[in-house]
Amino acid sequence: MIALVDCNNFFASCERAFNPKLKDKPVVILSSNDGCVISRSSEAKKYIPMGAPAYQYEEEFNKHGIAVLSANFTLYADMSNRINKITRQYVADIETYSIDESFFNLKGIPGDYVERCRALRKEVLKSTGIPVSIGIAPTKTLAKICNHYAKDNKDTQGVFLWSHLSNKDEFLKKLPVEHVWNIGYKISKRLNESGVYNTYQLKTADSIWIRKAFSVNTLRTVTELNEIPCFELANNNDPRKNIMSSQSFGKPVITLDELEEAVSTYTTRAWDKLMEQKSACGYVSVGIRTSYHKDMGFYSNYYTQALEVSTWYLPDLIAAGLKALKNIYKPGFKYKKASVFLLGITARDQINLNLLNTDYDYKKYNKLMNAVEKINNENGSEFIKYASVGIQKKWRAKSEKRSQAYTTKWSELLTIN
Amino acid sequence: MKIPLFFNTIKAGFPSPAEDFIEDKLNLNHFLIEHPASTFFVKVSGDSMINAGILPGSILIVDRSLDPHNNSTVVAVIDSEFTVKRLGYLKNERYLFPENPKYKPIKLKDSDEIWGVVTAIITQL
Repeated sequence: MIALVDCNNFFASCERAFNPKLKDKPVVILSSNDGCVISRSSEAKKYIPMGAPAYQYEEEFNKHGIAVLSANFTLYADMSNRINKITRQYVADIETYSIDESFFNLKGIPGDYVERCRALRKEVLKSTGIPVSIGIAPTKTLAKICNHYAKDNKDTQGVFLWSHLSNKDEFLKKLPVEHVWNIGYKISKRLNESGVYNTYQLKTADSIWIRKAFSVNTLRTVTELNEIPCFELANNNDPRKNIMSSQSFGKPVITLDELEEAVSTYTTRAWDKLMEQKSACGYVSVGIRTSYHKDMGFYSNYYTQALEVSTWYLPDLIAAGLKALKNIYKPGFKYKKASVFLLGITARDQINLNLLNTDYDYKKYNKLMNAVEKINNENGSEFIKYASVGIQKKWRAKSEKRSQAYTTKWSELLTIN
Repeated sequence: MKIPLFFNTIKAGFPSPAEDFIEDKLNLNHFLIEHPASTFFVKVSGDSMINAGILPGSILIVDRSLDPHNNSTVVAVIDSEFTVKRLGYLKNERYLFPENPKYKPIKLKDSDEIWGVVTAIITQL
């Protein structure tokens, strides 16, 4: 049996945990740069669509007394880790699927599944203040459906088991296919064109047709609707195959100098992840683009710079990133976003030593990188950094209405009377 | 011909008699925090608990997973505001008691909430 634990309106709930004034009030959270709505409390859902651009909805925000906050990802990540820690006390086999969702295997868990999950739900709520819903089913796809059911129906007390549905096929007939996990907008549109509208039709669709007209993955989804597991729990300890760091700027960036700061900063962030999984990378790819919807002219480009040897030595990664940037930078544009990708990720013991570079001093560089990582882990990111990341960072994303880093900074603790 | 300097790593003299007695260093986190996932730090600004040793500027360690008992020091939410007080009973009703004669006890309403139980106070001198 697979269970999916999903935090209800996670970002808004995190804010409420530290700000009781937001209780029972409509709350929306804006993406980095205060661009668009990325989380809504249940009270806000009837007024504000997901993804609504903030500047178009100012009037609605005011009219309905909606609290508007900038995303505080530091807080959300910390709360997510806490919830994971609590969940791990109940189950061993767990896949962290996103910041607010985890799948876990209930096999071998003693006692009644629903009772165990209710206990977990209660403990998470008490310990963190975050409400979660849990769906339990033979497959991930059905667990996702049960999770929605638990969320939408108060009488479930936040936990729902697939086999408790009295008439499963009738239920699936009322569920549009676009609500099924892994059935995206494109697939559901094509399914509709073929007369497949509800999930019961999808469940009973001809598997050869699905395989041919769509993909093996869609066939897996159909199989999972038939209660046969196809998607295994992923192992979060598997190293990532590519690493990205990307963010929009707080204001348009024109000069190469500022872009260089941003690319150096994002490369350093990506390097953090590379160090965490103890890998090396072979290529640094940099992308820059202007805003899509301004009449200032559109430009977008990327370039991938190969490293001389696979490495995790940050100065070499930054140098490669800056070289890639120089290749694509064109003056006269207002840049909105930069992205850095680390590609060709390998385990460090699998590096093919380039014969021309036998003097590349891995040992020395490794010592230095480990020291930098350790110092920053203990003192906060960018405690020591390479100068090219800049100090003022005028291009940094806007987040004017962000709450405090309640759980990660001594200077920003919750203050009480 | 080069001879490796093996003798460099040979320790001279007697081993320290204390070597077998080295244990971990004292770790304040382990000492003060039983449930890391549910423990939060909050900073106090008021003086309503000074007689309990909670001063303006003190940092409280608060465990949200614990059930409050009679006389527990708790962080509560009263009319949407956080406050730290001692939980107690008067004529079978739940009250929050300050530890400073300047303030009066507060009767708990249904809408009020106990947010967490204070397990330690950090006050820097």
